[in-house]
Amino acid sequence: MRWTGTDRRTLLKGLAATALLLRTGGGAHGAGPGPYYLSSIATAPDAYGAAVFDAAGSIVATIDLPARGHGGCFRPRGTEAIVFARRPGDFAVVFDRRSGTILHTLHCPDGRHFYGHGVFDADGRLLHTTENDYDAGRGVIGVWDASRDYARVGEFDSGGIGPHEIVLMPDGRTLAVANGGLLTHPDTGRHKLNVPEMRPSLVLIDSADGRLVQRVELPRELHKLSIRHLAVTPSRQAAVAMQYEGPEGDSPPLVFIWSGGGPRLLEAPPAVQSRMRNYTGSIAAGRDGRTFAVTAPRGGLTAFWSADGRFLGAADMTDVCGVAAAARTGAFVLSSGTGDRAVYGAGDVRAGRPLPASQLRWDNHIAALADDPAIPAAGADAIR
Amino acid sequence: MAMAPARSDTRTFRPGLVPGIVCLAIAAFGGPLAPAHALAGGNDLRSIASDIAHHHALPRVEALASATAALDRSIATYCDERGAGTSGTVHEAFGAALAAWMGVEHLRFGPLAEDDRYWRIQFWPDKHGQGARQLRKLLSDPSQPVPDATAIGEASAAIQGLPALERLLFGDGSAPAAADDTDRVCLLMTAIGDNLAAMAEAALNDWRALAAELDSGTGTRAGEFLASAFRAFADQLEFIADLKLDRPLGKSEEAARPRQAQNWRSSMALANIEANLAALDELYGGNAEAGSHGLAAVLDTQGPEGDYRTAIGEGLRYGATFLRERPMDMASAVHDQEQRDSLAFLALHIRQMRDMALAHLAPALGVAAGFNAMDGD
Repeated sequence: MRWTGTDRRTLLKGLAATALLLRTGGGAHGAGPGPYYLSSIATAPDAYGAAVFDAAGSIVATIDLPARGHGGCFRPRGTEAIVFARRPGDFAVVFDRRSGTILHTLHCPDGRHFYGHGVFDADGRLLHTTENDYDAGRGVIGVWDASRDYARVGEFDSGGIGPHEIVLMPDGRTLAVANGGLLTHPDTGRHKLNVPEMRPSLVLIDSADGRLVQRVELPRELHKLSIRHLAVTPSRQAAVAMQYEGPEGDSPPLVFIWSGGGPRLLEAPPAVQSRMRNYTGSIAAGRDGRTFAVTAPRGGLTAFWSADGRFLGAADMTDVCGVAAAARTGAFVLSSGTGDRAVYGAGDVRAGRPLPASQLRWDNHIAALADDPAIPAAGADAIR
Repeated sequence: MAMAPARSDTRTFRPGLVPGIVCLAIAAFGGPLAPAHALAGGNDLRSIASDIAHHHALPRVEALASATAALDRSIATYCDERGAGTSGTVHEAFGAALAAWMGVEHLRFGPLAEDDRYWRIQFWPDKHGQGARQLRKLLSDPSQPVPDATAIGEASAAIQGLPALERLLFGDGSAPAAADDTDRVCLLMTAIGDNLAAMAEAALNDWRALAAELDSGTGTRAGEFLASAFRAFADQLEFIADLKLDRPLGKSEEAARPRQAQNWRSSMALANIEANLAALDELYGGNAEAGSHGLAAVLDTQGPEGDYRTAIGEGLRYGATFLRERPMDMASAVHDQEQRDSLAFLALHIRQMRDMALAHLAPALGVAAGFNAMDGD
């Protein structure tokens, strides 16, 4: 469903007034030390929002959204969080991650919609969002100036069709973009229009001028592996999680790692590979960049690899999708559409510890804020 | 094949004043998955998978193969006798092939997904007009040879299948495009017809192999097959509501877009939906004559689950009956408020069927149909 400008704006205005604040811990600014996590949620059928929770899993703030959200991120050097509409939505909401107060709403320019992901630059001034220039069938990176009330200041080509997740490389300047390759148009909902001819890519783009720095593609016979989500480590390694659009009888690898040369596909043991059902939902790198976690919601499992490509194990969780690095080295926070969350950790990656149960349905992604700049880092290890 | 006892449905599904609306918006919020082995009536996944392959998919893909072969022959006859004004026969053959396709349009997995067959048989919606552009290019330059069936099979999916053929046979609905340059058009139609028949034949052979594989396969394999079949079922309901109904209807009468309707050139948009719903009803509830019970065999026939089992089947048939009892043409219906309301209602009804299937059928099949599993990005 698409919102018309008027009813959407009216609704968002109303929402700003009714933003819900759920403080479950002490302290004036949320419940505790970092890290903090941000996820889109469903609170009831057809009722959507976003929530911030802390290292103990306590919910710090929630906001309502007029339609289903998707990815989000925290603004560096500040207290803002932003959540993006799920495609083909055309709004994004900026709110105070401590209180849930809505601060700004962004709307795509005419003829664009969001793909559900975005990233700030290193100092939190410019925001980059993946968007669809749908009448031209062209992927676009929108540029917004957060220091000027999120004014739209420009855009550039994403280097492919269907840009999805976007992350900032460790140099603080280069953007890494997963171009899924799938052509869609709001007129035809989420229906994929070009599967036989899709050509996904991972590209690096210089955020200073929008110049395409590098394009990474898999061999032609794997062109139906939609390159959707990615994580990048401090050592500039990218790990990419894919979704296969070809026949379900095929069982291609669903993850590759890339460190500047050719992409290296990662294998999972056959039993895990088959359970993933050719579909991954999200990917995160551990804090030290030495492990990756890839969620497979259709298989209800999360698969873990080391940065050098060794398969480490898999953990079961029904309808798992969201994943982010936890505080402890090599640990990950996982979330599920059933409301479950858990921390799977270093050492035995298959051993998890549940976080408090929740009535919220956790949507596809979790974004992590490693440490709250407003709070001393000591004790930032609540998730162990 | 041993199947569940015949349905003892005593509860009649009554659409009532707000027909078909069973408010079950809780779909995505259903409880945790039931274990896949807890199946009703002694049915196991293997027998259900075999049943669907043999009594649903195979006969329908056979029908597609024979209808496309007949269409191919009809094109040849039409082209041999062109000028004699016999387009009625080939139009009829096209309609029959299209109807057969609508009986398998939901099978977007397995053999029809191999080699891009699904897209090559039906590249629709063609949002960016690729078919029109490429056909024009092919036909406009007399110095270029018209591709034969092999060349067509390697060309863009947008000009390989039924939509391209429809464009050539029906033009814009007033004058047949074939009047343009009958020699070149006939060569092209022949190539497309040959290629269509070949694709259907190949899909049929692959379905035969798949059915045999399921007969002797493991429960795990059967579970994977049924998960694909369930997704196909749910996706097709969404496809009908979103693309076949809502899209041509538009938000208002002013925003109606009759040419976004499927197969508007041959005026088949609503007949397509009727055929789709009949096929989904068979996938779901089986084919009584063949002693088949479809996906619903996993649901208990008694108690609340039995009620849902009945309601989904009745709901699918209700949709088809609804259309049959209200003869409409999509092209004019989108401009008539009363008919618009009927079609918008049908879209709503179809979404309710999908929600109900997600909430009740998916868990019984052991299919992960959670918030993220069913509807990720």
